[in-house]
Amino acid sequence: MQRIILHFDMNSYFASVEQQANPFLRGKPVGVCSTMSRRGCIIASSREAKTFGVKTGCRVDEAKMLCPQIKLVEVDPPKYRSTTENIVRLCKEYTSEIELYSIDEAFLDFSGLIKSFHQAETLGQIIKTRIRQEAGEWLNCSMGISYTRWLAKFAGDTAPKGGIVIVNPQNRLTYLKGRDLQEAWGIAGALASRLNALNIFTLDELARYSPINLLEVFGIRGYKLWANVNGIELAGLEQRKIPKSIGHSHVLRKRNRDEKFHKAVIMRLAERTGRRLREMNLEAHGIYAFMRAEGLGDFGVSRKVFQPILTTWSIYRQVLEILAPFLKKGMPTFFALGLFNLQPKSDQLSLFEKPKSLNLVKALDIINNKYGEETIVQGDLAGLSDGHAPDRIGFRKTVGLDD
Amino acid sequence: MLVFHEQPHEKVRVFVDFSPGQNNFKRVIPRAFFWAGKRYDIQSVNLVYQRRRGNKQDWCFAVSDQANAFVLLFNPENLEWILEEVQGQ
Repeated sequence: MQRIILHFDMNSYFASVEQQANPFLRGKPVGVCSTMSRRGCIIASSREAKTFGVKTGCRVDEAKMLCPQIKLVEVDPPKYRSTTENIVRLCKEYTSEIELYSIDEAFLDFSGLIKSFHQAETLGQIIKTRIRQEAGEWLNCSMGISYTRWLAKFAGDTAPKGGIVIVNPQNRLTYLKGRDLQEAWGIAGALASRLNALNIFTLDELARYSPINLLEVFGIRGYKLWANVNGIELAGLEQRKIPKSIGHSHVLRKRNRDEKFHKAVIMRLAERTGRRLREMNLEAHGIYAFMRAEGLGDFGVSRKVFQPILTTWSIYRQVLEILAPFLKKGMPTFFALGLFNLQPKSDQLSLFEKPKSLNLVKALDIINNKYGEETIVQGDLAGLSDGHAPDRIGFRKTVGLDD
Repeated sequence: MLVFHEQPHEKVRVFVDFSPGQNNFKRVIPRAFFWAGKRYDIQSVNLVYQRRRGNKQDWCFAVSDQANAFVLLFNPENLEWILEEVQGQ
């Protein structure tokens, strides 16, 4: 059976969704920023803004210098999540084998459903048309079709904006020929330099190189690189039901030494994390906390925990345990916290955490589910304005496929 | 340049066309609404999306007339329409 995988990547996604929602932004340089402040950063720029050199990661003041007429809009996560859900729902009409790789990228496995790459291209065209008709006429995507997940993504990443590229066993080496190593998914500067030291400068050279030598130099990673460019499937589509981690982070708008304010921000991040954890009916067996402070630099710790984490309060308490010594010393500018080693909730009774506190959390969740987020909050969070640590969008798996 | 952006969060009266359509875009079509004593005729429904409120979802309709873009929010529980956002140049 011929494996046929299609990868699609929405072009300038957040900016295109904003242009879709507001037609007066269409055809104009648009920057979607994390916060509407000078320090904020551009998390997506429209095709028009990109021609001025405004790229993802650019600071707002830098973007205004590069393109004074740029129109800035603040990020609106529900808009993008909901649009992605509509697109995925549409794709599910063609295959049930879907891996949502990020908010704007997905793999569709058509193996066994169609016979040829040509049919996959036709299906790709139909999906593109339906996305424009049913999700928004301003939304465009690039597609890659191939016989492994890696080659499909590589084809999608290197496809022209709005185009479809097919990489099949016959044209694989021709398509790789002369392409820079860093064009490939998973090869960045340091790794490229190490490959250069072996006289490998292009992807076709990597494909022709001895896998045994690569294995000796880079270990299993070297073999994976070789297998990927040679069209050997290593992983297939990822059908993970449980995420690797759940976390939130925030760059502070105010720089100060107000410990109460910092604790409130941490509490909000903990509350968001805890709510998502409980909504997915999971418990966590690991936690990490990270902060950046002026004068102190970066500080972060991750650790496994003996007692599974379920409640907002336990996240908050453990993060404070990690960060407390540094909160007093420096002026924090960034906080991040998260949970890992996630497992389905076991409901194992704990000797240490009282069932009363779990019942209280359940009651709080019921109220917040009914009346909206943060209708009722822990005392530390009371009084913190919505502008601090608001809802933000992640670039990896942020929407479920189960609905 | 900053886009003019207002968030009135005001209840508004909306004329809606409920049509049998194939998708969210075509099923519920707001045609016009009254805000601050003025009637706004909607020229196009540009994007329909959902916004979470607790474990409920409100429906947002990003619409536009000849001069402005609006976001109308429909609360399916109390059947209220709220003008959430107004964007102009």
